[in-house]
Amino acid sequence: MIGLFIDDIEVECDEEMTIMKAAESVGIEIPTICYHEKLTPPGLCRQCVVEVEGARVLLPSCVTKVREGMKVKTNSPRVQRVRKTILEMLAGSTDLSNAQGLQEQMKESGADSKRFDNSEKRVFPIKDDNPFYIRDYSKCIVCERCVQVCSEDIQFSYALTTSGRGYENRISTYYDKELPQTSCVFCGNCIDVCPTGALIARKESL
Amino acid sequence: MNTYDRIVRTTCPYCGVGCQLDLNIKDNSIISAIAPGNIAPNYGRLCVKGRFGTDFTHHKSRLKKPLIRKDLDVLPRIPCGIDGFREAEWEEALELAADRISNTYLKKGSSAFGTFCCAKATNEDNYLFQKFVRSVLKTNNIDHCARLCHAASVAGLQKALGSAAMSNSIGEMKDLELFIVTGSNTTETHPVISTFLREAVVKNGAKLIVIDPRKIELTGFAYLHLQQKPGTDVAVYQAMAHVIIKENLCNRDFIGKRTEGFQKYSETLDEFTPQWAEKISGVAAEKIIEAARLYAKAESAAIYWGMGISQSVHGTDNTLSIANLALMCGHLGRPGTGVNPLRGQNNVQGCSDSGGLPGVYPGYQNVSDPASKVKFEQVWNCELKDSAGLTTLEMSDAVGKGLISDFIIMGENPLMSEPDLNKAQKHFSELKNLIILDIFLNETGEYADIIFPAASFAEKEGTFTNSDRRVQLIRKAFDPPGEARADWEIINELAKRVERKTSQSPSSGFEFSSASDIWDEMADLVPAFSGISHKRIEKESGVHWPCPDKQHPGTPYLFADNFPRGKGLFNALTLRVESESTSTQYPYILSTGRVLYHWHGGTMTRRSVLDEICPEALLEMHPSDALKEGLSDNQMIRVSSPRGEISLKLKISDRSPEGVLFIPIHFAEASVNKLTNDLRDPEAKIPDYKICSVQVSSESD
Amino acid sequence: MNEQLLRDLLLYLNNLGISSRTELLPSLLKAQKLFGYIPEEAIEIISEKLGVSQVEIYGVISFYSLLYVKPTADTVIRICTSPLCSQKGSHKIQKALQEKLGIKEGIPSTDGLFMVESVHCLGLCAHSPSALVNEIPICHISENKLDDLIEGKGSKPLARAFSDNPVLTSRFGTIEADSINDFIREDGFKGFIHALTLDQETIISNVKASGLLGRGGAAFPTGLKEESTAKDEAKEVYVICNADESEPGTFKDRVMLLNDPYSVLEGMLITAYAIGSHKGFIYIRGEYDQAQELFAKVLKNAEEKGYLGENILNSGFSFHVEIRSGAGAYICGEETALFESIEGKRGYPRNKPPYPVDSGVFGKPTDINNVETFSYISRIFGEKRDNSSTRLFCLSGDVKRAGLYELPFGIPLIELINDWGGGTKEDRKIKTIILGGASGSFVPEKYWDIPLDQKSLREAGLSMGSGVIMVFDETKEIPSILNDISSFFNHESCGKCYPCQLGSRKQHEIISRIHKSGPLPDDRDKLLDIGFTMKDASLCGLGQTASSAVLSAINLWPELFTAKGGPLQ
Ligand SMILES: Cc1cc2nc3c(=O)[nH]c(=O)nc-3n(C[C@H](O)[C@H](O)[C@H](O)COP(=O)(O)O)c2cc1C
Ligand code: SF4
Ligand code: SF4
Ligand code: FES
Repeated sequence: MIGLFIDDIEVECDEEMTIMKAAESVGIEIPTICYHEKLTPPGLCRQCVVEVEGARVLLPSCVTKVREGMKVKTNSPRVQRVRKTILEMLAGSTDLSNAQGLQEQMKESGADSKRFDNSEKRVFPIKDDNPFYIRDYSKCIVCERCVQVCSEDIQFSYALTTSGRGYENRISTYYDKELPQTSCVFCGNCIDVCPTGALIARKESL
Repeated sequence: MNTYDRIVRTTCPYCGVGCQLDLNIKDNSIISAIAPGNIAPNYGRLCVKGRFGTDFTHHKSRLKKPLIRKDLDVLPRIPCGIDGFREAEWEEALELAADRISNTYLKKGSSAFGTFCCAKATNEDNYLFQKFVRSVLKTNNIDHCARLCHAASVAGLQKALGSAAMSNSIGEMKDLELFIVTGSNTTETHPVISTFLREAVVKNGAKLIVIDPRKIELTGFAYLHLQQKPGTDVAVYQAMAHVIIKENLCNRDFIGKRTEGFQKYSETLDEFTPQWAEKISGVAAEKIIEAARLYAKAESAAIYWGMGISQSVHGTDNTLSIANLALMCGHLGRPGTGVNPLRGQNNVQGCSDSGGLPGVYPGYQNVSDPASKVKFEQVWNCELKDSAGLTTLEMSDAVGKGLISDFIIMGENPLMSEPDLNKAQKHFSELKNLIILDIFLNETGEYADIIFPAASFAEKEGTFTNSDRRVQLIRKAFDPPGEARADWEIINELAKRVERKTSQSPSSGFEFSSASDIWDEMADLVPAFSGISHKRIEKESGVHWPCPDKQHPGTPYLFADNFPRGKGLFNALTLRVESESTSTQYPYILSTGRVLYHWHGGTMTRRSVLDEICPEALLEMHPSDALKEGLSDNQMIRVSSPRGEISLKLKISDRSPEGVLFIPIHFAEASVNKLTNDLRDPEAKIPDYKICSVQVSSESD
Repeated sequence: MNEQLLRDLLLYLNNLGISSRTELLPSLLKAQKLFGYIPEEAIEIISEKLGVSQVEIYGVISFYSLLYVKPTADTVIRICTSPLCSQKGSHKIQKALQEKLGIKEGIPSTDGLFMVESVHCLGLCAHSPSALVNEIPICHISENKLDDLIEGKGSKPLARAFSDNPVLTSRFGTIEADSINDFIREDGFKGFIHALTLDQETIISNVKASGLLGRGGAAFPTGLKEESTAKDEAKEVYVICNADESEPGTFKDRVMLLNDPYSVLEGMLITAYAIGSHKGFIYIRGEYDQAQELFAKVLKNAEEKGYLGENILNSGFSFHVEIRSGAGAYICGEETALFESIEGKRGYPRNKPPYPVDSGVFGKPTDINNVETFSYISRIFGEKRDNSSTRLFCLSGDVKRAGLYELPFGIPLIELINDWGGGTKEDRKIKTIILGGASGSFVPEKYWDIPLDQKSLREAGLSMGSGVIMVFDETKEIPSILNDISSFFNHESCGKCYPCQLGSRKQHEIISRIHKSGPLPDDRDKLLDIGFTMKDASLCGLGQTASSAVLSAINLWPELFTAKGGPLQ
């Protein structure tokens, strides 16, 4: 057991815990996007960053472990600015209309969803290539959860990957083939973890 | 976006994994399904069937009213579609069914009845069904399709250990160290289990040995693949045992403390050298030796198998050869260490547990054991038969011989699942009375006199017991269509009427008002269930039996301290070669099995969106055979055996070795059981589904 | 499909020592070389042989700029469009070239003969504008010499250094770079042989005492890294030389590798011996074909002479080095992305901790250093030098003598530019100076005479990174320079983390608009929010520094970013 301070609250916890879990244990909820209980945290969305005294940059609380005597601020002005800007840029890149969680976070952080409206959005035709589910990558935020699920966090079916680089990162199949032509077994485990409705069961999308 | 208005937690109606499922319901219709978080057995994972395949519940061909055959009592009966029936009111149908049953009972006696309970129905349905059969019809002629899938595993493990269930839980799989998968195409038959197995390999560095004639998908994850010729399993396992003893790799301590018959058994192994096995099985001796060493030297090691081991004329021997191996290495009774027949259907474990077998009452209490008989007689208020009944195929034989005239079937589809279907169909066409409870009119239903429309898994309460003995709840998500009723409600009604019409009193008790009450009666009678109730499962989401009392936590892995039979028993084996052999006329071996997108006889999956992605049966043939026969992909092929013929499309693939063909079992229009051979394992009475000889020709010839 | 080529690929794969994922990038580069792209059939064979799923291979290919899933051309001409070359007109040259060949960027000519692409920084910044014709570097390209360019002709880069007291560059020009005998004659391997007589702790404490700070950009104490890697003796430990040099304005590692490669190997040997490592990698960027070839010879010669391999110089110590080629991704210079790349994955940086010294390549403790750092280590033991000495500076831009300089720490910036670099061309006024490359920042005029040492720079809020000094004269425009810089990050962000994936694009969109048509009222606020978000919340150093230049520009020239400031000149 070690002790630390989170938002001035003294917290005792196991030293293997992440800052996020430690905060949770005293009722402080830190917003997340890419984090999912079932999956290896990739630490990529940076929505969960917190300010740790002495650290040069903000740290992702989902993967950063607690340390003895650490002083953590989960909602400082620096943190707020980052969270809000990330959400605004996301909204300026992706159709978040079905991403309920993200919409709530925007409201919470006071993010202006239209701030980056005159920038180039990532828009793609809907992929409707199988009887089970639909892929609408205009709604995809490349959190890579589906890729994790399909490869080594759950399914080991290896039908999905992230392709491209940077802003051009996309979720793709092998050569972008239609799903029935790939190793996809339509377990739909990816749908369960998709936070944006980019992957959606056909009947739900109607 | 179409959001749902409620979520109902339930258990998947398909394979034996028993995944927990949240059905998203809108306007009393399932619009999607998701896997609930971190709970056993699937820990948030699903396969395509569980996630997308529950739409069969809304299929337009669901039975909504009782049906009575129009040309009742015209023999031989001819299979008819829905037009051959008329809809009837419940009262009329129940009265008619009860009359016909009572008539036979009074005129011909108990032995004229054959009954099938159902591996897809709940424990409660099955308990009540067998209670009806045993206490009212006074026969032990009750069986179900476990006979056709894992009977040999059951026979073998009962003999060697005294219990036939999977000895390890699914939760243990991802932490395996070494494991053997044999005769199981796990990725397609138990998709969610296969994800844990692959996780063990990829993430834990577990070593997987696949022993299977087919190059199944798991071989891509395997450290070793022993590709034996079909039907030579015993040779491979005996040779592994030979190596283990010769190299002194056995666990003497375990053998001494927990087994018997080792000395005698080990003396029989001399001739079973790996070189000998290589000749028989085609597996290189070095591979057998390596596999034996890996298995024996592993700290913990588990064996998983499926139909490839059990559906064989020597399925019991296959199982025993596996049990011998586990016993000599002491690979039993620890986490990740054991013997595990992967059960095929959602409740095939539970159906057997609930007494759906000819020789045992619920909880595997022998009908011929006087104490058990007395116990059940007292609770059921009646006299019971103390001799075991007939097994599935024996009942079919008895129909052929005119000994059984009446059949009552709950949910099963023998005219898809029995071997040599042409023969089975002939038998069924000669029945005097055939009463069926089902959710659809299936291939067997077409022969019925009366069909009662039943509720599906989403329309009733009850429990399923999955492959690792976990008892879990199903919950009612919406009302059954039309006037359909839960099976147990139908049995309640029917049993009471038959009791009345055959003047049996006092009643054995068919006044249940809930599935939970039925469970409680069974739990009182079955020590392994005593600590389990619907309430408790509700709280814990599932309990592994044995669970003898309310404080007991349940038992994820078996045999920690002892075996149900006391000591584990070694069984000497010989190699028997009894399967149908190929000939110039029938030069290919045909194997049957399952595919990912369908299940069992296809009654449910063929009426689901699943059928869109996999709408037809495909004949799998090795490229060199196809070349030899001059056949090409997608061509229509006629496949015939000495017993029948079917036509289907060709898919060239090197999954099966040369000379071996594969056809899935789910497709009525290409019903592969027309070809299979009704040759049975002498002990388990399971037929030799995986081997029969066939010829092929192009349809257009 | 060319069956013969497929057989060649198969042969290559069959001859691999280990068939596992770590061979993925080398195999893909092999296929790329054989076919000019990576056809589906090749992916299938590679997938089967290395046990990597096809879809992952597809994802990997699409990450790296030098790997293609579609056919390229016999001659691929890559024009550098990074700030320095761009400012010298490379965009216009590229356009002219494309027009001449009648093709569009990135699309091969119909006859399959030519393809033109822009790339970001070829490490030829002292000779801009520059290009790569297949593997051949061409300097000082111009619109007048397009025919030469097409044929791969033109001036070759000079690989020399200027110094009045050379330490790191002392052997430059005095030895044949590939000659091990020359190297030994010039005191080569003396440091290593000396180190072999010391115990491991002594070696490490010597490195610590030297005060050596890493020369790859982050200036981390080298000795400390060695110490942390060495502490865990039981495990496999790796030594990696980071020669992915891709920061615009940096070319020192290329010049070092072409002039004194053995000294780099020597530094690796000393380090390996000190931390108990038996396996090393040198990750050389894919565009440095010549350096890769040369280093292959170096390894071969060293092995033949007993300086590498099993039981080196009968000391009982064994060490092997493998060359790994990059495949066109700046991010792979980031140490953890480099590990991923060696492991056969997309070059995504990892969250730290765990740090490389605890869990680096293959999850094992890894000591990774820059080329210059290793070369320097060899001197610590060879000539007993301490840290008060020199470092390499890459001077480029509008100066008379752009090039590599080895000079003492603390030399004033302006002195370096004027006295060593000869001042600006035609003695124009300096408009601005950038320290640290694209990820560095503009130096305020008051600091133009700042002494170039760690302490002074830190106090001024500046960083020299990998020793980059870029000089722009009065003919250049800030928005245009910024546009080149933001374009670089837009192209090179790996896209893993949101602040940088989104920020690098949004930043570039705004900057390029400002460059074209002037700022809108809220551009400045947006750039500040984006910039701080990238700096404060990005996962790795790339994102954390991708807004440095923009933020420093907003600070220095606020009028350029406010609409009220009027139209741009
Ligand atoms: C985006 C990015 C690119 C980098 N590229 C290089 C590079 O090309 N060469 C290099 O030596 N270090 C590079 N680094 C720094 C490395 O991560 C690492 O700090 C360095 O290799 C350590 O060596 P040193 O201690 O000798 O400086 C880069 C860092 C980042 C964030
Ligand atoms: S499809 Fe969904 S789960 Fe996959 S990366 Fe996009 S948003 Fe994430
Ligand atoms: S900061 Fe940029 S380069 Fe680094 S991980 Fe994030 S997206 Fe990738
Ligand atoms: S939740 Fe995405 S980085 Fe932590």
